[in-house]
Amino acid sequence: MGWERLQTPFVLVLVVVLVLEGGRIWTSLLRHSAFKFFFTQPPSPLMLSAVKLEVVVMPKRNVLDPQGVAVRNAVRELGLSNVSTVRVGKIIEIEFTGEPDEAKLDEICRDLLCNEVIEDYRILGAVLK
Amino acid sequence: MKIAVVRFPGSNCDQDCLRALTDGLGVKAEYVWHKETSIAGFDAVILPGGFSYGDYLRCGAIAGFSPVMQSVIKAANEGMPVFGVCNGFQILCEIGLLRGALIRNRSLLFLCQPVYLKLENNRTPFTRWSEEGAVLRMPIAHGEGAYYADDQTLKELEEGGQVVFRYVNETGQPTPEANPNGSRNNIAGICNPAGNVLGLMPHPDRSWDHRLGSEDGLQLFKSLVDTLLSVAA
Repeated sequence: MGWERLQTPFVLVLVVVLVLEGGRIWTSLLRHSAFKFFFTQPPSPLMLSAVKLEVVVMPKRNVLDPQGVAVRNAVRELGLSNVSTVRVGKIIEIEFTGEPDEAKLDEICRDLLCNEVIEDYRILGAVLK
Repeated sequence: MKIAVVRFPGSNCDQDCLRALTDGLGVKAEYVWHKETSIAGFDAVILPGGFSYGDYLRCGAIAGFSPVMQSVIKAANEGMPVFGVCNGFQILCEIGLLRGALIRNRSLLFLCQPVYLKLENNRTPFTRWSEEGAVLRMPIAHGEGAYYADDQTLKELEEGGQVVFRYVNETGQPTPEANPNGSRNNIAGICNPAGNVLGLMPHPDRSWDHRLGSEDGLQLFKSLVDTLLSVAA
């Protein structure tokens, strides 16, 4: 009894959600490695576990960033007069063909990718391709 | 006596350094390619200026991992004189033989101009030949030459006499106007606590002959050679 009364609104809501969000839902479903199996050629095990990490390197707050100051001035010139600070850093994308060794990557960040005298870094989470 | 001038892909002051030694002082100096794993047979190492590895990532960052640098680090820790000019200074900071870092010039300009330097420590193998307080004239040529270290490090460097050269005006005053790039405390060159590793942003290798506009830079190479000769004697 209850179900029959709810059926029409439920289907309506489902249709609206699918129309509005359908693209995103399907894309994310297709992106999910478990579904790739149905839509693509049988993938290699390596492809299934391809992972991309991002290392974000930023100048430390107390270190002068003349590049950021120059960009800030230009941004203000272009009409965003209330911008107080711009800092320019870099993003290093790193793609793996298997499980990333995040501890080792962290070590390499400290040794090579970031100079901790003048910069800070953070590693952004694993992204399934 | 033989002095090594390390060549990285992108070095461009290697000839200047070599000829300051061979033509300026008549001593033996040889290029060492960055892929060499040994610097056996050499008595001192010069890391020349330039843009090693295209300055990719950060100036000097990738050069620090060159095969030859492992032997340079070992030799430096055992007391061998190691002199980094410009990009060489950046490399020495990146590998941790010297403290601090060199960041982009405050003005954002690539600066290529003569500057005045005051010698503040003549107890290193590279400065023995000069008098403390002497004002030398040399050119700078860099985009990332602003010396940076945190307050504590700066204090330790100053107290330990590790600030070897400072940017000054013609009369030897370290004024803000005499500081071309925004270096903290007007620092142009520092050494390690033992004094055998020196990094300097200005170019003695471009000022060792009157035809280059100044011969003040020759003093540094002369001091190094004198030191090596006195050790050998």
